Amino acid sequence: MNATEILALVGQALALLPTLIQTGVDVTQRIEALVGLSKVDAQGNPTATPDQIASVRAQLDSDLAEFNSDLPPEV
Amino acid sequence: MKRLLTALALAGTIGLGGCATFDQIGAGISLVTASVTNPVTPAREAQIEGVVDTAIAALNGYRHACIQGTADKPCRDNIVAIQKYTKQMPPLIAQLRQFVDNNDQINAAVVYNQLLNLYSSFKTTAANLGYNVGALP
Repeated sequence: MNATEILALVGQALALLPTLIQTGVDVTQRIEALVGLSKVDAQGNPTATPDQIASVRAQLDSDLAEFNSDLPPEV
Repeated sequence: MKRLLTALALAGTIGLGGCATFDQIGAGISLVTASVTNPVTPAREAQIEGVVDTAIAALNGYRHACIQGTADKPCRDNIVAIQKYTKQMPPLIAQLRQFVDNNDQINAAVVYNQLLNLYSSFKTTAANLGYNVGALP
């Protein structure tokens, strides 16, 4: 990875971080979860455990249900 | 997609002070088109779910701000526009899980790719409305 790519990634990270923090999302927990899901074996196959898979499924269900629900009336 | 993950990884690296984190995510998650020769394993399915969830979590922050009246003026219209895509996700995700759990790779690949396309569409819509949930590849 060259310096230009690294600088681009820094820019993207800085752009996204306030969004995640603003949501009250535990950023560290999200990063750790993604790290767990990103682990691969020697053949490059992901190695997430059943617990990790169940956890991300439940989290996505919860977050999607919240976002997809109707907005309350404006006050 | 990989850039979003790498950006997230970088964010984690900044916070956690570990270069290993950055390398692990960048090398480990690659949301490429699924096929019979590139099967959707449960772990791979979890990867796309984790990525989608991170973006949805960010959008929920926008939703909270909108409800509290601290977001931009057209936030309600923006959320409805993005929901056009996100409301299609739950049935697809349910199908994907069922196919993956039953190792029905032909149908799993079809649904996985549909979900991948839907994810790209909703991120593009969010970006066009001025809400950054990460960079598309």
